[in-house]
Amino acid sequence: MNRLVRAETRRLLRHPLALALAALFVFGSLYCAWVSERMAAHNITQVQDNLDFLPSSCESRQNTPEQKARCLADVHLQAAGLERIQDRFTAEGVRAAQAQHPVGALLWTVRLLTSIPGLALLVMLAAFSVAGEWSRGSIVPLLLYESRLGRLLAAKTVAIWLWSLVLLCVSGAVTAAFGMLYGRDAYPLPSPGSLGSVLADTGLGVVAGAAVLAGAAAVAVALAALLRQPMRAFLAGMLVLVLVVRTSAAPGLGAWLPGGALADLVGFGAVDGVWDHFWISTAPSTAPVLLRVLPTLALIGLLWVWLDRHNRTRDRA
Amino acid sequence: MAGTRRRPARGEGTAWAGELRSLWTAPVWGATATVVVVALALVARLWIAGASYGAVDPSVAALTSLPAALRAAAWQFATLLGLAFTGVVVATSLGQTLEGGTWSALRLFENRVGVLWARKAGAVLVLSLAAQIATGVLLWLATSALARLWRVRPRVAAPGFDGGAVHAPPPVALESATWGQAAGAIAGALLAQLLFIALAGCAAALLRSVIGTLALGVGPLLVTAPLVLLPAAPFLPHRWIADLLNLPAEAQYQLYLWNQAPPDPARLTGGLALVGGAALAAVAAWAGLRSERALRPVD
Repeated sequence: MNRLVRAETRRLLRHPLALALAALFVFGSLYCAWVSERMAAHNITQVQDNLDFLPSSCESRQNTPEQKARCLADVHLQAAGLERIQDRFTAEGVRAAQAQHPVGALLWTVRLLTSIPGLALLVMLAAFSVAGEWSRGSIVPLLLYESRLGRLLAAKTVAIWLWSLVLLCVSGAVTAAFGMLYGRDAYPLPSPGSLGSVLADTGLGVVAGAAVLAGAAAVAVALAALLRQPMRAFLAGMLVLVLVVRTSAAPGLGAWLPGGALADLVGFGAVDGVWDHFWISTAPSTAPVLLRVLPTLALIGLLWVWLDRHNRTRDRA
Repeated sequence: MAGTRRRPARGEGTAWAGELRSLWTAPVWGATATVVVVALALVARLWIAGASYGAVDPSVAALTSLPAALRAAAWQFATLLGLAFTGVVVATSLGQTLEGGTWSALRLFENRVGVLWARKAGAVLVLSLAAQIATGVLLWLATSALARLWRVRPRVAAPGFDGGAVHAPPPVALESATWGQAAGAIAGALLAQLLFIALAGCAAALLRSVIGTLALGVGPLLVTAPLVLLPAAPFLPHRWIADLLNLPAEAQYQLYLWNQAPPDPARLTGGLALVGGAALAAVAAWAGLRSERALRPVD
C-alpha cells in the first residue's frame, strides 16, 4: 500500500495537469488576497474619515441656527450608524489581515481551498487521475500490479489529498510573501491577533481543512471510479458540488448537510466581504459541528461500501 | 504506382458530417442544455421579479422581439457560458481523441493535421452557431410566453396631496435590436468562440487529455477575468470581446456573464486583436498537434 501511495503521489505531483491546476489556483488565490486587502484597507480608511468629519459636518455657513441645532441633535445617531459600519469593516479587515501574516496566510488559503475553487480542482484531478485510467486504457497494467481495485482507489485518494496539502503550503507561502513584502505597507490593516491566537486558529483551521479535503477527495475519486469517463466524472462532480453548496442554506436541515457542516468546520463564518472563501451563507445551528459532520462521514462511508460491492460484480459480465 | 496519390474512399463532406456526428454525446448535450437553461432562468427570474412592480428591465423586456433575443443569445455564447460550453465540447472531441489514442488512427487516414484540426474546429463552431440560434429562439418564445402570463402591471399614479396626479415617469424605451445588429452580434460571438476553440485546442495539444483541455482551455481566461478592471485591460481578450460585442453595462449578469470592462468601445481594435489572438492560438495548436508527442498516449 505504501509503495502504491508513493508511486501515485510521485506520478501526480509531477504531472503537467496537476502543475497547471496548482498554478491557476496560486494565481487566483493571490489575486483574491490582493483585492481583499485593498478593499478592506480602503473601507476602514473611508469610514474613519467620515467619523472624523462628523462633528464638524453641522458647521456649514448655509445652515440656519435651527438646522444646525437639529443636525447636532442627530449627530450621535449618525455616529452610532457609522460605528456599526466601522465594526463590520474592522471585522473584515482582521479577516483580510490573515493574508499578511506569515502563519495566518495558511488559514486564509485553507478557506479558499476548501470552498468552491479548491473543491472544483479536486474534482478535475480525480476525473483525470481515476476516470482517465479507464478512458486511456491504462487501468489494465495498473490492475496487473495491484489487482484489488479498492486499494488502488484508496492510494489515488491519498495521492490527491497529498497534492492538495502541498498546494495549500505553496499557495499559503506565496500569499504570505506577497502580504508581508507588499501588502502590509500598501494596505495597512488591523492586527489579526496575538501570535498565540493566530497559531491556534490556523492550527484548528488547517486540521479541519485537511479533513474536508480528505472527504472531498474520497467523494471525487468514488464518483470518477463509478462513471469511468473523465468528462462525465467532472460534470457529475460539479453537479454534486453545486448541490452541496445550494443545500447548505436549507432552513433547519442545512447545518446538518455536507455544505453546512463543511462551512462551520472550516469557519467560513458570517464575514462575506472577504474573498477568502466562495460559498453561500449557511443555516445557523447550535448543535456542535463535530456532531453535524457525522451524517456526511456516514454518506462517504456508504458511497465507498457501495462502490466496492458494485466493482466486485460489474466487470464479471 | 509511385507518384500517384490514393484517392480518399470517402469525400470531404462525409468527413465533416462524421465530425459533427462525433459530437452527439451526453456531455455535449448536457453542456448545451445547461447553457440554454441558465440563459432562460436568468431572464425568467428577472421578468417575474420585475413584472409585479411594472418595471421589467428594458434589456429583458426587449427579448419579446426575435432579433433582440438572438443578440442576447450571441452575447451569452461569447462570454462565460460560451467559454464553458466550448471547453466541454472541445474536450469531448479533440481532448478525447488525443487521450483515447484515436488521433494516431485518424492520422493514418488523413495525414494533413491542418485539415483534421480545421474539421474539429469547424464542427464545434457549427454546433455553437446552432446552439446560439436555438437559444435565441427559445429566449424569444419564453419571453413572449412570460409577457402573456406575467403582464407588466403599469404603476397606478397615486393622487397628490392637493388632489392632482403625481408626476409619473414615462415608460422606459425597449432596447430592441435590428436584424443587422443581431447578425453582427452572432458574427462577433462566432469570432469569440473561435478564440475559445483555438485556446482549448492549444490546451488539448499540450496536455493531451480531456480534463487538461477543459482546465487549460477555460481556466486561464476565468482566472484572469478580474484583471479587466486594471490598467492591463487593453491587452486582455476579455476586453477585446467586450469591445467587439459592445456589451451594455446594464445587461451584465442578465443577458451575459462577464466582467464589465470600462465603457470605451473600440470595436475595430477589439475585433482585430481577437482575430490576431485566435489565429496565433490556432497556429500554436496546429504545431502542437503536428508533433510526434500527440501520437503517444498520455502518461
